[in-house]
Amino acid sequence: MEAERRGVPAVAILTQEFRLTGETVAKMRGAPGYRFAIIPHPIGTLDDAELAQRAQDALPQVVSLLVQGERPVGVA
Amino acid sequence: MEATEFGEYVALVNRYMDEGYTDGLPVIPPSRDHIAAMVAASGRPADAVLGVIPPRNVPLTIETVAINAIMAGCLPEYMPVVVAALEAILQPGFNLVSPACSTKGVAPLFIVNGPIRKQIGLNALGNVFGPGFRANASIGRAVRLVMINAGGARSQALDKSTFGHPGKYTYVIAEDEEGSPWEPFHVERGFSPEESTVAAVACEAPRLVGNYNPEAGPEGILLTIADTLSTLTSFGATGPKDATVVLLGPEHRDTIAQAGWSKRDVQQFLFEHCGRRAGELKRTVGGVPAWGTVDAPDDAWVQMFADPDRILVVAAGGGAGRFSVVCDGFAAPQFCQWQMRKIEVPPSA
Repeated sequence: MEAERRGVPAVAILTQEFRLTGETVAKMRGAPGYRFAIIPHPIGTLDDAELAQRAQDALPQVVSLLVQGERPVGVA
Repeated sequence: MEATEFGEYVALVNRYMDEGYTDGLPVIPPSRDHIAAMVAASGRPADAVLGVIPPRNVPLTIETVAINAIMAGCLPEYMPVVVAALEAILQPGFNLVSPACSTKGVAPLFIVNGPIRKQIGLNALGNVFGPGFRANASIGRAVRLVMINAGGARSQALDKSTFGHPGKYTYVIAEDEEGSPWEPFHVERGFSPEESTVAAVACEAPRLVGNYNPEAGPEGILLTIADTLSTLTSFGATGPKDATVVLLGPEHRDTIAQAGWSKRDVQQFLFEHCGRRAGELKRTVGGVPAWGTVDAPDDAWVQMFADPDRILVVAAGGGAGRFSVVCDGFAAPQFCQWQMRKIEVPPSA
């Protein structure tokens, strides 16, 4: 969100356990409805290969969010 | 109060509940007069700022504290304690965002010393963790409501504690200075007996330690406490803990003091006996480097605490029963450092 405010296209990736946390932070920072890429929880216990797979799985969401272009946060 | 007025009052309370402005229990809705009286009892202007409260990172004013203190059920004379408790957890070293939001689920335990304990009726004796004592119950609740309503640490949203614990409703005790054979906790830490203080230590839930045999002597009692503190779960991933609280009950204190032990002796004994063999830690916590077990032989002794001062020994608890309590600390000092503040009581209060 902060990167996008500075004009840098960015996507925040959350595990599903932190969806509500992310939505709350977005609201707090004046960006209600901000969309996140959501992946399964947890990631802290994955090995490198599993983590890479999780990144692959997240890719379509990340690309979609970047290409569809959420309006930069805080910009009318 | 007429029936219609009462109905409106209940509806108002329910609205606070529905809006998520409470800890799950009903609150007292604050009126303007009530807020003014609570602000006055703090001895500071309504717009005075205590600090910036995470995770929302907004300035916390005396007026906001007063509103939440009323909602929690505080009397005006509790305000100086509520303010000092909040100032303690807003110190940079306490790093409030960490204990307020961590999955670990700790709560600031507040330990009050000095004359204010008696003046406002803070309990240090039987059922010290409750229930039954308004000052203990409402001061801690006021801090929690400030953390929720001003700080934004709502359960499951920004407060991501996996389990939480009952101390997140309130976690305030007084020291039983009069019943202690040793100098008060705040005097030991450099304050005068006439000063009132509040210590804030991020802690897990209280764990009871029973040792029922007077003939066990100081060593038997303290070995039981050391064993309770040295469970494998206490060797977290972050290295030796900043602090841990040991509340010695009256019957345990008597046995220890009658054998001629000082409080320092107690801390030193616990410091030396709190620990595990490296082999057990390697099998269970993976030999975290910070804990010094990677290259240690399996039979090497790994101490729990960096020094005896990390063990905060406090007198509390009811007169009957051979029990003490440990409130295990949160994490290593880089995540959270316990704090101590003088309680400033305004002259008019």
